[in-house]
Amino acid sequence: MNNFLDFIKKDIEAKKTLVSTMPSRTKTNVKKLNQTIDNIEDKYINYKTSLVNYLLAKSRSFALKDDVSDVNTDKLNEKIINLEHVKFLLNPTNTYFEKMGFDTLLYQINNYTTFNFDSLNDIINGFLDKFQLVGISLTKDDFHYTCYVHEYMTAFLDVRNKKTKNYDKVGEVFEQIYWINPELIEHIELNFRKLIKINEKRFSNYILELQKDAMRDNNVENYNDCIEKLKSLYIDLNLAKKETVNDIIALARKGDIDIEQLREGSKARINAYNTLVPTEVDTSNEKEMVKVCNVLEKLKINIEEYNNYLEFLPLFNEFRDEYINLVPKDDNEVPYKGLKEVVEKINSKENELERINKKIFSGKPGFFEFKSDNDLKHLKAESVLKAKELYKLYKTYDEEYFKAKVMSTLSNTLTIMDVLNLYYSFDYFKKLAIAKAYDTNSFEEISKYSEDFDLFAMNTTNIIVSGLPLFDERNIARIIANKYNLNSIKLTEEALDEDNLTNLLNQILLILRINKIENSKTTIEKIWFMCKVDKIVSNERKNGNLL
Amino acid sequence: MKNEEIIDFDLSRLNLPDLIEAYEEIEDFLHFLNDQRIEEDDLDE
Repeated sequence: MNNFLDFIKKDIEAKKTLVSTMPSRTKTNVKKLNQTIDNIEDKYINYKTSLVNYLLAKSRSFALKDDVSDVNTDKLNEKIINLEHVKFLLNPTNTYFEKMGFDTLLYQINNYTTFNFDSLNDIINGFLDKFQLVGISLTKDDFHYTCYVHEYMTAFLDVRNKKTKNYDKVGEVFEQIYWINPELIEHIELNFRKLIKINEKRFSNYILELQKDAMRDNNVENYNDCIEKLKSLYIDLNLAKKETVNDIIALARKGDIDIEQLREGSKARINAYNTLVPTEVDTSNEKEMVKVCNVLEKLKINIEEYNNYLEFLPLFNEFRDEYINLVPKDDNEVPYKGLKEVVEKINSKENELERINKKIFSGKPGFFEFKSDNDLKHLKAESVLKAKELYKLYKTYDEEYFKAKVMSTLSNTLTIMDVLNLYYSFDYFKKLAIAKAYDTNSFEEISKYSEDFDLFAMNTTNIIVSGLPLFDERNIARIIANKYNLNSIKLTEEALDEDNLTNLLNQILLILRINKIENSKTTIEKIWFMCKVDKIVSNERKNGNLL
Repeated sequence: MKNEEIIDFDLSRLNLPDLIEAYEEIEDFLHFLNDQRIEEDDLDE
């Protein structure tokens, strides 16, 4: 018996012949032709309408119920966010300076030329707000690094205290000062650094209190306890976030997955199975495929980690090149003193600057008892020069500060994970290192690298980098390939080539998705059908054929 | 046999790829018919 498809195929053939052979030379002929076409068209539009309604109903009948697991990820995410904050506070590697977020502000003020005035005002307010947090309301009397810093911050604080948010007057003051002292912002930074140093105890105590509260509120005993709790939560989250069949269907319908690739006989499917599924495995055997997929899940995680490692290899190489010659040869090596020396230089020079400033600021309010205006001008210029020298010294201080942190843990067994933790703990130095390693000054680019780096460093599934020595080159591709060869997955080093990793990951995802669907209540063909119907409906709506 | 009967009866017999093919056949044919139309004004009587 003919089915509908056979029927319309035959009918269409016949109608095409009819229409193609009807005469069309005269107006009467054409009228008759067009009439015939109209009649046929009406019939086939009716067929199409009924067919599309049927397709829609059939597609809707294939929808699967939502998985309950979706609900749990919100609570899990909330717990993780809280514990990540606790981890941040308890991090033994860094100090109150990083925990207060001063390092991030420092990086921003260092890059002030990237910003406009509004952003600069936000940065300065950011510093002031942090002092406010510990109960310190800075006044104009706290800003004496140079007379110009004093003048600017007096105007700034005036606006801030009035809460008008109109910084136009401050902009005018900046204009006046800038041509005499273009390094004004840099010197404001130094003033803040000095104030932070003076109030170190207040900030440290504040952090201590925050730590106590955070541990109590989150039932955490110490840093290691926090790490263990986080690991456990991330395992739960990864399980909950595992792609469901509904996720795959959504991706296919959006066009993010090419469902044709999952169909039997597709080239992509055949290649993926040939590359990754051991030949002795019976792919139609559910138990065997579950085993294979478990191994592939682990391989996927390893490749993602390896991919991350490769992305940040320039950073690791930069670090290695800088410190390889500083690795202590024995335990008797003298402790590193670079930081102490530069701190002494800074203190000495700041004392010199203070003596100059005393001369500038002293005297009757508003008057200066100088022999001439030139004396005052000369002193101001001297103070600016001193501040410039101090700015350079602080740059050295920054290098030595980080170096001292590194030297305290440096050994020939330092791992990539150790470097990840170091840079993760020191946002400012991480960004400086990124700028150097990737040869970029773009604030946006550096920020993006920094965010990606943090995600990598925070990833609790990292396993390759935790044992990977920084100073001893290892062939990671070979290590991964060897491991999975033991699982009968014939991976080659070439398959793990950096340029091929995305392709390999896609092949793994393909197999995992196929397996997921084939063990579910739906089929690849049904999903394919749903995608096709989506396109059909979209096409019909586009042509004004509302359903 | 009425058109509706054909549709009601046969569509449920078609597998999924055939259903899609049926739509594509009709759509292509409708385009063909549209192309076959001739403007009546262009011709002499």
